[in-house]
Amino acid sequence: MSSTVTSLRGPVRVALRLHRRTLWAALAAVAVGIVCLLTVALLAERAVADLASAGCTLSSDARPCFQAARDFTDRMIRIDRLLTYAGFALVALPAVVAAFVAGPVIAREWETGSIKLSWSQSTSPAAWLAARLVTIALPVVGGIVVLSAVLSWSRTQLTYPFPAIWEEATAFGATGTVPVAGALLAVALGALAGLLLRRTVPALMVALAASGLVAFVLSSVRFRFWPMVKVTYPLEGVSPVPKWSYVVEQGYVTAGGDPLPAGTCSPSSLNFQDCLAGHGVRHYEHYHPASHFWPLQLVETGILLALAALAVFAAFRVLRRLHG
Amino acid sequence: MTGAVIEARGLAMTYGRRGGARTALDGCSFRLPAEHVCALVGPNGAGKSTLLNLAAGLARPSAGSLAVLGSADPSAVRDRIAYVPQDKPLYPQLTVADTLWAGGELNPGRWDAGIAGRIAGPLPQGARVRTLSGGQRTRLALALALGKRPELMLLDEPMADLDPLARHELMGVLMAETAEHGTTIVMSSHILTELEGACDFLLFVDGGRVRLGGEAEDIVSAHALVTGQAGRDLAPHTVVESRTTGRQLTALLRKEGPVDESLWATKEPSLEELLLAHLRSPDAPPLLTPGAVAGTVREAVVSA
Repeated sequence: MSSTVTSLRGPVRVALRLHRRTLWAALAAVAVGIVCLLTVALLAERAVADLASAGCTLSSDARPCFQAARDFTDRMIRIDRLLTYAGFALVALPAVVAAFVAGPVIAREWETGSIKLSWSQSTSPAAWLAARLVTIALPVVGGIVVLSAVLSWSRTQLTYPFPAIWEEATAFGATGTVPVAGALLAVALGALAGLLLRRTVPALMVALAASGLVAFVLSSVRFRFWPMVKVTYPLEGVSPVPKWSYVVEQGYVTAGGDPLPAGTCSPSSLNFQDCLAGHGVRHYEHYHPASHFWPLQLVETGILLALAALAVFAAFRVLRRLHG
Repeated sequence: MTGAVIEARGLAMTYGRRGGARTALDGCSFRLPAEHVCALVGPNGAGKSTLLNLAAGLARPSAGSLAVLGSADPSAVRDRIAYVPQDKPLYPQLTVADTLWAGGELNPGRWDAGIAGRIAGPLPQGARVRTLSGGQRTRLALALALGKRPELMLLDEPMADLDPLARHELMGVLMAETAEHGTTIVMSSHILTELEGACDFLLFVDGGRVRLGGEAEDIVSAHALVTGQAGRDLAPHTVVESRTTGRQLTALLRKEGPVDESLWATKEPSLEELLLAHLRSPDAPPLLTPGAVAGTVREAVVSA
């Protein structure tokens, strides 16, 4: 192990030097991102303070408070939207990383011919690839951990009724362990695409598309990775689903437990409730309580890491074939 | 005799698949003994670059075997080989100084900053590689190769971009390397005169195989350029090429015993005359001197 580390030292230092400018630019971008998120949090704090200094609360029914409450709500909605954009940026970041690894880091070495230089030094092609994976993966993971933590913290500055809705893609995909695992998969996919295509622009495009596709597919199936809680309750009853749950599916079931066939009762008709009652149905809801956040995160992280390992393995196999 | 630095047996290399397949090497066999400066010559597309690429361990042959520095897998001894490909690849975004630094980082334990710095001395140290001229790139690539202190240097068209002064200087450096450290150098060129005088071993590749191989002196002295009356029998010698002007015949012979000097005006051909004659006569049989013939399998096993 220590000999692997020693043999990677030189290639890592050279890879850092080769991509110095991009890495500095990325660091600057992270710093700007942090400053923006902190500013947003300060704005939220200011809005809360302004409302309080007017002697109002959101639910106050004193007439002079109407305008203050409206202003507060407007400001909070704007801030919430900014944080949603930030979350989206964080979710999209892995695709950008994949494109960078595939094009400028890997494929471009074939276009400039420098791959022959890299591979005729004392260090092996495997060290060449490993050094590039490490050189990109470590700063990317570091940056994402910091940005994701600051984003989560900024979210907490938005007081009720504007907390993050945890199941939203821009929140779920930008917090916890998922973004880190997604970034690692992106680095691996980028390396694989770069080695397979060995031309900068096509490799860049394919890596971008592949990474985006994985993110899209995962975001549309991620809530099936952990069993939902299923409840039924009487037609006249109150939903027992706890606050902050993500209700994935709801409807009516017959007394036998089967879902009510579609079109049995028309929701637009006036006697809709009577119609339902006539069939003896109950409400049902399938939902993820907020406590499912971590199981869902960890399962998805596991899937992403497994895919990343697979892509890295494939990349080294392709590398083996390339240098004979 | 010291061991072989390169030993190729039945080497073949085909690029592409079925439809667009191109054969670069086809049944190439030879042996290069250590401590020689070898000229790898041949027309464009003869397979010189392919051969060097294989010897550097950057590709695997389609068929046959290639042992370099005693290893059946050249990539396993990459730390002892320096390779300068034809297009002199370098990292375009690095400066000259950074490139030399990278050479040290990528060759830990071998790097000789002294010689690399000396070769790259005339270059502007802070200039980015992408701004260098062809000759400057060559100088930097050679500095990287020499800094590695290799046992075998594979140089593909190393002198093509250099002005005469730089060519003379760098040839001198390379010669000093072999003299001091016993480095074996293989230099390719399609212009023989570029290498004549510097090289003591010759590999003439044409059509994907070695047609002439061996110590340059032995190859030259195995041939004779004769002039005499047309119609006389040249047997038992092998005629590589003959030309008749009126009643006079000029021929390049591969000697089988002494030439009858009473009938023929005989002189030793220059290396260039020899190669031109072979290029014009693709059917002339190949000649490998005993030192250039790849050993039998058993020998190879013993030496490995």
